[in-house]
Amino acid sequence: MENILVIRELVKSFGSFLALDDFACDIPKGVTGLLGPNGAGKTTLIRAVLGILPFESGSIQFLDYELPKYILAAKDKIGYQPEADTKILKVSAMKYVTHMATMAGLSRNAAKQRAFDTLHYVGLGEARYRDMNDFSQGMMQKVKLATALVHDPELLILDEPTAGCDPGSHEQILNLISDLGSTHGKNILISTHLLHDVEKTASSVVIMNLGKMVIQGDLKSILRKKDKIINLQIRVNGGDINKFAKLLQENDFEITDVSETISCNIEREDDKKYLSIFNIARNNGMNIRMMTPYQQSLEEVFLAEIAKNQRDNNK
Amino acid sequence: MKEEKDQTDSSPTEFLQKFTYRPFEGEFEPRWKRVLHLIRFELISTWRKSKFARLLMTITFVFSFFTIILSTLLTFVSGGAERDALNESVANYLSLSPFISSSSGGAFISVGSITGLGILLIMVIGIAGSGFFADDKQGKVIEIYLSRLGKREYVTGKVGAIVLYINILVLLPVFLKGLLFIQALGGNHFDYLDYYLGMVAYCLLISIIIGLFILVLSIFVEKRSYASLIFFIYFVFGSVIGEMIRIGTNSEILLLISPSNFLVLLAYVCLGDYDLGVGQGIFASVELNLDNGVGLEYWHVFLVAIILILFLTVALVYKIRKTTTEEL
Amino acid sequence: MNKNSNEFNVIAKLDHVTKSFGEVVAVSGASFSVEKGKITGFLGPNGAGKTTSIKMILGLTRPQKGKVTLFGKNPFYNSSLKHILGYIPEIEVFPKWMKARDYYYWLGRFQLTKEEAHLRADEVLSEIGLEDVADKRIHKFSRGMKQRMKIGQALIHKPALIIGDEPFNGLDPIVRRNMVNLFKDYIRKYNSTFFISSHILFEMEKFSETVILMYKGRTIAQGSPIRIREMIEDQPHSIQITVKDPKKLSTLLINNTDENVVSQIRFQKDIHSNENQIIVLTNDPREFYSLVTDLACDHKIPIREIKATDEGLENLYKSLTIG
Repeated sequence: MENILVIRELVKSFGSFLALDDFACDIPKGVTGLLGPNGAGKTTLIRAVLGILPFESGSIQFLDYELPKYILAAKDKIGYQPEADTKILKVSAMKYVTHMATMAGLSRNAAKQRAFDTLHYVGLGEARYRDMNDFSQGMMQKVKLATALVHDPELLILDEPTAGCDPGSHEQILNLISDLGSTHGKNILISTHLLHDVEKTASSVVIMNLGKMVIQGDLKSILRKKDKIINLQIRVNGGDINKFAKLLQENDFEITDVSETISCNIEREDDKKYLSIFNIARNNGMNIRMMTPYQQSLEEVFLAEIAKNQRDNNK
Repeated sequence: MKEEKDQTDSSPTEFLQKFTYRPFEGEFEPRWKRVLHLIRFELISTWRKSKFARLLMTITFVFSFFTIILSTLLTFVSGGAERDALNESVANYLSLSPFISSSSGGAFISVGSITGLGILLIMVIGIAGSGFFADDKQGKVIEIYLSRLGKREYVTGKVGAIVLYINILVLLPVFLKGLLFIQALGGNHFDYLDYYLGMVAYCLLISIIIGLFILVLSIFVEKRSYASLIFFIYFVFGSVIGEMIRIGTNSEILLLISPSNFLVLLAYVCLGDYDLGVGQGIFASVELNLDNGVGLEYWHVFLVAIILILFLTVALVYKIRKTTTEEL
Repeated sequence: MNKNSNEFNVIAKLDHVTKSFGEVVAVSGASFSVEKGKITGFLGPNGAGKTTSIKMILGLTRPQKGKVTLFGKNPFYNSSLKHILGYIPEIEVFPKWMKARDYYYWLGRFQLTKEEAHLRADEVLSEIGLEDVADKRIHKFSRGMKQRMKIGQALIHKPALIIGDEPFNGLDPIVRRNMVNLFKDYIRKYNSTFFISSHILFEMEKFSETVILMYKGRTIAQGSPIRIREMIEDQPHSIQITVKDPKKLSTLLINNTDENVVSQIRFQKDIHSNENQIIVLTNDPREFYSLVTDLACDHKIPIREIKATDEGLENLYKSLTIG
């Protein structure tokens, strides 16, 4: 089985507002990013998969389970990290995670042991007996992640897992996600606005807008420009950057922009051209400080796809 | 993990297991056990969540303890008034003040109906139960609960917890009081079977009614303090105003408006004692017969109880269904 | 640290400031300056002293030691400075029952005439993309919309300095880009300056030319990330070179210089394209770049890529906040 979730023609509305409009997508195994502007229906989709909100029509297939018929069995194999901060009065992290483990079907003793394990794994070992309500955002996110992991689910659904984190916790959580995805074979669905996070951890993405799927696929192929022509970013030492840009132009290089770096188009496989950049620099008393092909970021692809989608919708 | 097996022993003598995530290899419990865990958690949380609730609970436990002891000492009650005394102790346990008594006129002593315990208990129940749904809404944990439990399981856990809680506060002390009283009198417990059954039935009924009521309040309001306040005000002022209305109109049926009176009447009805008196003091009481075909009848009381249960259940189910995405 | 800060260019400054609350020292001998006409990023772990520093600039509290200046004056004693200051707070601040346009009008009236306030209310609503919901009550707004309202309320009176505390929290990528562009517009049109505190480093790298890093109550660094990296002398620079024949180039590097210029060479393959790469650690990057150019030209080595791998803000943050 290639896909962990197969969704077809999902429809969910709130009164007159259509949140999911015949939504369909395939979530493959591994780490997948779920992206979309606010209001695209990401949270509604997640809640439909988790059985928290019923949907009007369509089908969801999770592993062997057809939802909503086998939703209770499916819930046991899914771990959810909600976006909102979950707070229970006067409860330590350990108590909270243990309790939620029993809610997922573990016995009290197994729950305690699992809570202990997962809290240590996410890096909250020292703080596990502290009142959760005093936690910083970074710690809160880790507790929520531990809660999602405690019953060892096959699919983790993480909603904004790094929101509000200080940079240290941010990196730790991304490392945990990568570790879980690659070393421990967990399937992870990350819904987030921080596209950089997805770039770092995910192998595939699903982009949605206005309740419909816009594009889905392997992250590498979406990002890789298969063009023969690439755009180089260049910086030099020992000379003025504008002067160098002129020199390149005089040597038949196509310059597209000059600011702090020179942007220049070049054929990807043309080794002679790369070499001549170095030669031109040296011949003019300069050397190359940086020369790197411009990598299209996920954010650019995202913005372009959504813009295209808006245009198509307005027709 | 590197292992080298010893020739004579199959357990590994060397290994390396780095500290990282481990899968769970245990078994999952049957689903109904999760509801039990939820009940247990909610019960413990009543103690944990509010300092004031802890204080009140301690006071009520101490009071109950004394009244239970007291009941063993009141052996001078006699002459057929034991049953009346027992009934009265049950009926007045939650009342604000004993307006209704076991028969019109007659001298007897109320076993342990120390006035004031009723208010204390109502306060404790209100404070403990007000947070069952309200806290979850505020803390945004309903979502995570529902990602593991079905809606029915979640609600059953909450209802089970409050019903159990109220029974611990009411059924337990009342049961012990009756037990020790009868024991001290030297009576045969089996002669009092109808008393025991009626008392248990009453406690169960009111735990459901009061429990559902505080839960409905908890799920409709934003904060637990609003729920406990409304609960308390309704009981106290409802009883006072209800009583005033009844006195003003001198109607038997309107006895049911006052929550306190309703609880007392329900107790007597469950215990099978339909020959009552209403009014303050032995001399001022007026006859109230629940089985004379006139005015308030015992089946009115039952009917109201059932209607209440149905209404509150519907309200609860309705609100569960309609929990908005924000409230999750 | 304040290499070229001309006094006229500095809009806000902390000068050897120490601030404590009771026995808790929040800021300890910190100095930094916010330059006019750009977006300056403010970063640091939780508890580094950022919030306290901002509070002092806003004039809400004053230091025990040192000087805080805003537009050249002491903000604690010059409350009139608040008129040319805008603040985007982390928490929600508006009366939720008000309608969006009314709220902005009411805020505007503190400093503007009726006509100006009406104008600005509509203008700002359109700038943040909420003109369609101008007549709706704020409590009905989604989190992203409320966040935009927070940004807008700081801009109404076109302040000279806008301080933002995690202003892009909860915004989707499209709205985020629009808001950054809006800030850049304000810099161009109204000469505004932005001082943004954020935890999202890869984003801050894109929108701010200068960053100020605080850690444990002190200011650790100020400048552009590349310049800050250059100033770190005790850490070898990590430079990545993508080349078809890594052995040839690495042999040449080793043979043609000393361990200062090339202290370590590592081989790897690019995770996406599988091309060969070498990672070099050098203590003298300038000399190294010069050497590479020479070797490439003399030995005809077509280098596809050469770039430093540790100049990013995330790397800097990590190396400067250890311990």
